[in-house]
Amino acid sequence: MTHRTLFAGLIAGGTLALSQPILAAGERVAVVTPYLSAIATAEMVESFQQRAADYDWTVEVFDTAGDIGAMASRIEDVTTSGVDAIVIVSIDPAQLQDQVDRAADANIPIIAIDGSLNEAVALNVTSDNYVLGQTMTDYLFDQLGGEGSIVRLFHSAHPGVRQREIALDDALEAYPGISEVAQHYVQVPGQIDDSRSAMDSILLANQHEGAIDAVWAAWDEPGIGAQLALEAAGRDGIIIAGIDGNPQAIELIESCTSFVATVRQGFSEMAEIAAEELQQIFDGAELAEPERYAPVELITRDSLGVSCD
Amino acid sequence: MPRPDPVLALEGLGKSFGATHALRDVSLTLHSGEAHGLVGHNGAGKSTLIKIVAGVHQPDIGTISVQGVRVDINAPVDAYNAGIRVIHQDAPLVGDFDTVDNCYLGRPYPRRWGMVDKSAMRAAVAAIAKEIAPDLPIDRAVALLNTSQRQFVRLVRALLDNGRILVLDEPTAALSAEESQRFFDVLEKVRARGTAIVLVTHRLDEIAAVCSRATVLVDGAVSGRFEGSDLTAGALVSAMGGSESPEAKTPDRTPTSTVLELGQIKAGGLAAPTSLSLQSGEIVALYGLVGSGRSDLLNAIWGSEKLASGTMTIEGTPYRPRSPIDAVRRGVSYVPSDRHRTGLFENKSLLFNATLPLLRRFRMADWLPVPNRQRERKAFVDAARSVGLVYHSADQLARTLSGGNQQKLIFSRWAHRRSKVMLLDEPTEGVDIVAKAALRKIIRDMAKDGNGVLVSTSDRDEALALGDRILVFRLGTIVADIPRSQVTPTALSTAAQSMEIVAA
Amino acid sequence: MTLTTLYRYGTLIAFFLLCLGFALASPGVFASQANVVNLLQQVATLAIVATAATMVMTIGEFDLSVGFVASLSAVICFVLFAGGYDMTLAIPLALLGGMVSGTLNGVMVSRFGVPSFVATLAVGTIVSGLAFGLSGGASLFQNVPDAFKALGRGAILGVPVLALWFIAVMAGTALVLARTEFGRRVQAIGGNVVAARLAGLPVMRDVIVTFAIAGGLSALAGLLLAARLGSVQHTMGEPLLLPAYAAVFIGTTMSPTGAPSVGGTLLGVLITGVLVNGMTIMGVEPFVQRMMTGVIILVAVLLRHFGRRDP
Repeated sequence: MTHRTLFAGLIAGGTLALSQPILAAGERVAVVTPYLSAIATAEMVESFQQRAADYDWTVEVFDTAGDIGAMASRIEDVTTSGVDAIVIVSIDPAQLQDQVDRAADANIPIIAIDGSLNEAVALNVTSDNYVLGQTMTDYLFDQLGGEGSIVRLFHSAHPGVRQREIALDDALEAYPGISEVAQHYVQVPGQIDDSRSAMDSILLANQHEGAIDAVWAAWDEPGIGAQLALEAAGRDGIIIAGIDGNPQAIELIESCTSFVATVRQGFSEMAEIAAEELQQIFDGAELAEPERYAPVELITRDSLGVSCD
Repeated sequence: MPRPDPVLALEGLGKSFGATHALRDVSLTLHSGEAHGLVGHNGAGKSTLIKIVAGVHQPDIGTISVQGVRVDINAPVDAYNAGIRVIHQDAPLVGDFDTVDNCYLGRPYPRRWGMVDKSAMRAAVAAIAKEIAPDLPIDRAVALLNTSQRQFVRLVRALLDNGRILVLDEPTAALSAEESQRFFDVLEKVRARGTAIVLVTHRLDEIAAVCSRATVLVDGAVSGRFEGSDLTAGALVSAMGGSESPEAKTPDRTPTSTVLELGQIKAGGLAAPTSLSLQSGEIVALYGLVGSGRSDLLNAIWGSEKLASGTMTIEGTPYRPRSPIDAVRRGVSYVPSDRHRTGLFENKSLLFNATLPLLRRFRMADWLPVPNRQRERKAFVDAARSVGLVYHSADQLARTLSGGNQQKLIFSRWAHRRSKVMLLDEPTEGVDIVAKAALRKIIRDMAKDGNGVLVSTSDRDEALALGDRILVFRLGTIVADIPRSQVTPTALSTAAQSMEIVAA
Repeated sequence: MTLTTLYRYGTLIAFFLLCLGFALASPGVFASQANVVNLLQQVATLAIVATAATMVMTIGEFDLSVGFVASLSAVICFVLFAGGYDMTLAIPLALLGGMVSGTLNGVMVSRFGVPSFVATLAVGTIVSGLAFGLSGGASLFQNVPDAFKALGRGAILGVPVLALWFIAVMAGTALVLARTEFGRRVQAIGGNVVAARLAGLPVMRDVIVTFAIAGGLSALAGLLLAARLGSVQHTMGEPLLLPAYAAVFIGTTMSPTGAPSVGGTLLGVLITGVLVNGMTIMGVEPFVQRMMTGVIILVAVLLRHFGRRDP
């Protein structure tokens, strides 16, 4: 676990360890994200760090624990300190337009991983969140046979997650047999507990058999909360699908719970693409595209080779 | 030589509260540039007089004139408009504000283009400060100033907008001897500017040194006026000594065994090593002004003040409390002064208040720190009876009691056991005369039960009424140790307030 | 019903009106047994954290670290699980972590006189950093024993286990505060700390112990939340802080002197819980839920303010 080693190093080495990155050679890259507690974000950051080590960059990681205001401050800080590049992870640069503009003005290249296209940003590497949402929604609606009622667990503050919702909205139009009985805006942090409590209530408000056929979770963690609520209520006949390929969600799919599908984004691939493209920038090359997509993968019982009969 | 109209003339003032005559036919004149002393025991009417001049109370009868013109002072604002500035004891200041801002607090700010003109404020304050206290850092937050500097801030504030009459209530109560001297040096400059000053203080030597005239109040009436060379601390003391209320005194007793022995201890405000021995069943009164060291002595015995040097023994065994916890364990009990701030839990029940420090005694079992409520309640009822507490329910809140009953409630905390040493700090302060007598009886009963009692008091009558022996404190030292058989009221006051110059 | 009664028991009445309203608005759902079970489970961790806050407020101090400490203990426990250790080590260490944090708070406050607002914010921030570092920022769910999950799931005789936990914690705390010597001293310190010191009470020790207990309770809440969810994020306890104090403040409206009490806090927890639960059932938008919660706190406190009569 690199993080834990890093942490131990910080404690042991004290200020010496802290000053280490500044002394090290190579380009300085600041990685800033508000969602490091989310497993996917952590995976992206970790892959990026591994690749950066190959390139001999010095990487500083800042997490603002869901606080977008603090995120803006950190970008200002690293801009002032004159890093060679800024990588923002899991956030729409438009939410920090002033700060990214200023960094771009200072000729610091900015790369967004899992963010959005933006004039100030040299490159956005992402899974196409719309495609993710589409892949998951199509599978889910297929499983329902094109007819049924669903619950939506969403969080529109995240730009990628918002795209998935748009895919859902489009699909709902295309499948007139599917209707939405309830929706819940998931609170972050505390997303699992929050979705679980909300799902408890939604289940009670829709008690009769067939009132709910499926739960559409904008990412896996709310789906996990929904799974806990279904388990506790002992309700059968409801399926859950999420997005992200969260290991815990994959476990749930494997063990024949109501959780039936997730879509894995190529998080590591995204981070690797970002690192490769950044090296291009450092080499002085022009980037061919302002946006790159990593491949997506639908994970189901079938794809995992389990049978639940 | 004909004098101009007095700045302030009080004529025939009278004021009653119910059946109590707080003031009877009091007259007083004050000229500009004059310092006038006002003295008397607690309850002699000084505060009532000040409050009338300040507009807090209105007299039942009598007139007030300012520079020859009769004025009605119905509210503090009237007094203010008449040029009267009263500096109450410990008048509050805003700690985060500097002197300039404190001086203008509640007064119209000078303005410039609609904005508060701080430089004009500063200039006005600096002009006065320069004259009377050039060392005062007027740009410094008041919280960072020391006690005497804060008194200067209050003075500057009072003089800022043409205060002509300055009434000072115990201005040096919180100051050391040296600081007091400096304060009076400044006050002298204020007087020299033509301001008339009324000085109210317990420290008679200050009156004699600072004032050109003095009025003595006893039981709400003027008992003496002094001027010039007649004005001495001794003369004031005898004028004050007029009325004695000889209530039952502690009967003489034969001492038994020594419970507390202090050997050359020093702590807090004690200026010199102090020794003392207390017999079981004996009441020793520690008499002196506020800040004379008697409270420090109690605090040292109670463990709330660190002992700098010296030894203490209780019943012959060495005793060195690190905190009041040790004191309680060794059989020492304590009733603090200022019960509202330091004694009472006002929003808690009587029961809660009465059993708190000795709660261990009511445990359900030795190993189980849970009070047995029946036993606790019974103990409360017994203790309440022993101190004569008037209440209607053990569960009523302490704040609903009268002052005297609140004090009895605090006494009742220690009634569950026989203490070796009882420490009482101003035990009857601020309660009415009936409650006072009742509390004194309780104290005597406690002694009769074998408790050794130390009573610290600034009330001479109390010292006389309670003490088998009276130790007189002055400036941190014991200046007299008088057995009750030899004590007279005058001797006591003289000892506490005598003008002996302490070489410093 | 006189006006005074309304003021005195306004909060309680409001609670019952709220329940009545939700029950009528959603027949057979809000008032169902299943929902009561849900509700009790949903409020359990909040109730325990709020109890910790109540204890600290009883001595007249604040503890802003409760949510962070809950996160830390959950992280400690799950990191140990992931490392292959079992419950007998993980749970005690997690609780110890909470108590050590609490002790640190107490020492800062009582020994060094740091205002509790500052001290607990600082310690809480340190603790959250520690939780972040230990978890590596990742979600932890590996090797969690079923026996551990059972601590936060299922029911005994129809009563959810989580409900039993918080009822036990609250009843225990209420009993300690009301009946033991320690409880009396704690109340005395909150009532008048100078008087408590001069009455010969071990004030410094009691303040430290109080903070340590609060830390322990917060840690327990973190563990139960982890058991309920089966996974741990290093920020998972943070959303507990503000609702916990909201509950305590709603609860103080039940006391004639405005003092915090466990019973009042329970009411506060139930009110906030019922509000969110009922409104979710009725499909009320989340922003309306939040606004309503704020309005309820204000109304309760205002009622008390106008109703305060000195006896």
